[in-house]
Amino acid sequence: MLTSLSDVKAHKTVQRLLAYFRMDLLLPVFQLLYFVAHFLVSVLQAVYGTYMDVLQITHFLYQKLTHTVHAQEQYNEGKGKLPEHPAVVFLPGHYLAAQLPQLVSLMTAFVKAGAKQITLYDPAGKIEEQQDELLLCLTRSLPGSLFLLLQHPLEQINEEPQKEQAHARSLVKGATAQTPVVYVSIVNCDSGVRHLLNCVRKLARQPHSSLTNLSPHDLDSVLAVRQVSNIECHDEMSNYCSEETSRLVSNPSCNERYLKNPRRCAQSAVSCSFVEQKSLSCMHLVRQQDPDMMIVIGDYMSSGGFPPWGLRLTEFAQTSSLGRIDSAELQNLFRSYAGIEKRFGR
Amino acid sequence: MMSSWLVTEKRSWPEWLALQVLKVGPIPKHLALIMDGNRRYAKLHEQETFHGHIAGFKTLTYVLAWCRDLGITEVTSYALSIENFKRSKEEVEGLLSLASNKFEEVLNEGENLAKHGVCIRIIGNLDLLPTYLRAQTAEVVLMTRNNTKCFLNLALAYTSRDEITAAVRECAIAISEGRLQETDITPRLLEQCLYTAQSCHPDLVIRTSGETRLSDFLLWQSQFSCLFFTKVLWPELSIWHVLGAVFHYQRHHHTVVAARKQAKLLYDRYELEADQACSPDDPECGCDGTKARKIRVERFIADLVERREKTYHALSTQLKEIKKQQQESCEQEQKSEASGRVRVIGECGERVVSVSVADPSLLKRVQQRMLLEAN
Repeated sequence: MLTSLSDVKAHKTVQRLLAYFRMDLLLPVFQLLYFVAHFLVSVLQAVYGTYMDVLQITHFLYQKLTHTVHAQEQYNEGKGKLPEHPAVVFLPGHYLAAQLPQLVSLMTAFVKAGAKQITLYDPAGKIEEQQDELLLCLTRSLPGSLFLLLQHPLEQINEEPQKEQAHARSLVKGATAQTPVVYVSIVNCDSGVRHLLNCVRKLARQPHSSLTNLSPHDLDSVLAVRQVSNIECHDEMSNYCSEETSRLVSNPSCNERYLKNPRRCAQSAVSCSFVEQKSLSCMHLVRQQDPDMMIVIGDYMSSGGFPPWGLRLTEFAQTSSLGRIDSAELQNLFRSYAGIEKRFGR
Repeated sequence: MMSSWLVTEKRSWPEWLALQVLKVGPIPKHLALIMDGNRRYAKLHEQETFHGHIAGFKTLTYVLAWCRDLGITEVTSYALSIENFKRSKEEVEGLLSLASNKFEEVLNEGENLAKHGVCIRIIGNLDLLPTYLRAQTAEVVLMTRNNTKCFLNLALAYTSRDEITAAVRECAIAISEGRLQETDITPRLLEQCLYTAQSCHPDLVIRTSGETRLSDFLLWQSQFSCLFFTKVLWPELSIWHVLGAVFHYQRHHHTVVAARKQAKLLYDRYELEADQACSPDDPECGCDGTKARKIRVERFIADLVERREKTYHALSTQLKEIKKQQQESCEQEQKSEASGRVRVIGECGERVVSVSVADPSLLKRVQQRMLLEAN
C-alpha cells in the first residue's frame, strides 16, 4: 500500500528528499481536495443528471487533452425487441405519494411499447399503499387494457396461461379476446426472500433422490409458480352488479365504501371497470417472469434489495428522479435496449 | 510467459495524489469485478481471442495492485461463468489452460503470497472443471488459507443461480433428513451455505465493456451494492476508471450503509420468527427450543464446512498423485533419449506432454506447436 512519497515515480535525488517528508503534514490538504472534488461533482451532477453523464463529459475532455483516439462504438439501431417486462425500482427516499401520476404515465408508456408485465419495487411500501389508486388511474389512462394485480404467496402451478387470461377476460364485461392483459406486480424486500424460503420448505417435502439432482432450472420452475383462487367469490360478486359504476369510478371515497362491501359492486359503462379489476386482483393470479429491464430511480445504480433470483440478465438503467423520464428519455432507453446484443455467455 | 500475480509499480504524481485524496473518504472493503471485453479487445487489435484473455489477466494483476494501494482488502473476480462453456471448444480449452498455467504460477509463488498476506479462494461449481484444474484450485486454496491481509475470490465455473440452488439443495436435503427443521430456514442460514460464506457482501461492483447487466454474478450478495458500469473494455481499464468508481461509491456510501442496515433488520426479524416458531422444549437436547435451533444450525454449518474441507484435501492428494505420475513419465522419457531420439516437453492445457522425435527436421515444427498450445 502507498504509505509514503517514496512510492511515487520521481528522480532519485527527489526521492531521497521526499523520504524525509512527513505525510501527516499533507493530510489537511488531501481532506480539502476531497471535499472540493465532491462539491464540484455535485454541481456538475445537478446540471447533467447522473454521475455517469458527468464522467462521460470528463472522459471527453480527457480525450481532447491527451489526443487519444478510441475506436468508434458500434451502435446497433433498434433491431432487437422492446422490453416485455420492465421493472421500476425506487431507492429509499425517491418515491413520494404525489408522484403517482408520473408513475402512471411511465407505466402507460411501457404498455404502449408492448410490455405485458410491469414490476414496481418500493422498499418503503408507499406504492403498495396506493395500489388501488394506481390500478384506477391505469384503467382510466388505458381503458382498452385489462390490468391484473399480482399477489403473493404462491401455491399452485398453472400450466395454461392462455386459458387463465381467457377466463379473466370472460369475467369482465366488455373485455374481448383481443383485450390485452397486463400484469402489475408490486414487490418489496420481503417478497423475494420469503418466497425463496417457502420454496425451500416445499422442496424439502420432495423425495431425497430428486433433491440431490436439483438444478437451477428446477428451482426456477418452482419459483415461477402461479396461483388461481377465489373464482367462486368473483361469480358471487358478478351477481350483484348494478348500474352505478360510473359514479363510483369518479369518486374514490365511494370506491372504498363499496369495495368493503363487494355485494354492492356495479357494472361499468367503461369496458373494463375498476371494481371488477379490483375483484380480479383478489383472485391471486400470479405470474413470475424475470424483468427484462430495470429502471432504477435513485442517485446511484443498485437493485436496492429487489428479489435477486430474477435479475440474471436484467438490463439496468438509472435516473435520478421519476420526473426526469420524459418521452425522449424513454425512447432512448427503448432504443438502447433494442440494440443490446445478448450473448448468453457465448 | 511467466508473469507474477503480484505486481508492484510506482505511481505517477497525479495517480498518487488522487489515491491520497480518495483515502480520506470511505474505501469499499470488498470490490467485485465483471471482467468483460477481452474478446472485443482482441478483435480491435486484430489478435486472436486468446491474446485478449492474456491481456485481461494482466489487467487483473494491475487492478489487484491498485486495490492494495487503495486499501481494498477483498476482490471478487468473475473469471469463468458456467454459461461460458457454451463457447467454442477451442476457446474453452484455451481459457482452462490459461487458468491452469496461472494457478501453477500461484503454487510456485506461495512464499511471495504469504509475505503479502494474500488469500485466494475459489467460488463456483468445481465439479464442472477438468480434474487437474480442480485439483490445482484446491491446492491453491489450501496453500493460501492462512493468509489474512487481503482476499482474492475467483469465480470459476460460477453462476449465482447455481450457487443459490446449491445452498437451497443443502438446506432442503438437511430438512428431509431431519438435521434441520422447516422453521430453521432463514436468509442468514442460506447465506452461510453460499460459496461466499466466508466473505462480506461486495460494496462496489464494476462491470466493463458497456454492458449494464449482472449476468448471473453475485445476485444475492450484491442486492445493496453500488453498481458501476463503464464502457471501457476490461484490458483497457486504467487506474482512473477504478478511482472514478471508488469516488462514486464514496458519494453514496451513507445510502448504501443505510440500505444494508434496513436489510439487517429484516434478516433479524426472520431470525426472531424462526426462534418463535421453535417448540418450547426440545426433548433431544433437554434445552429450550431456541437453543436447540441454534445447535442444529451450527451442526449443519459445521458439517457443510467439513465436507467442503474434505473435498479440498482429497483434490490436493489427487494433484500430488498426478504430479508424481508426470514425474515418472518424464524419467522414462529421459531414458529413451539414450536411443538417440530427441525429447520435446511442453505443457498442453492440464497435461505435461512429452514427445520423442526421431527426425530432427520435425523438431522445430513440434516445438512451435507445443509452444502455441502451451500459450
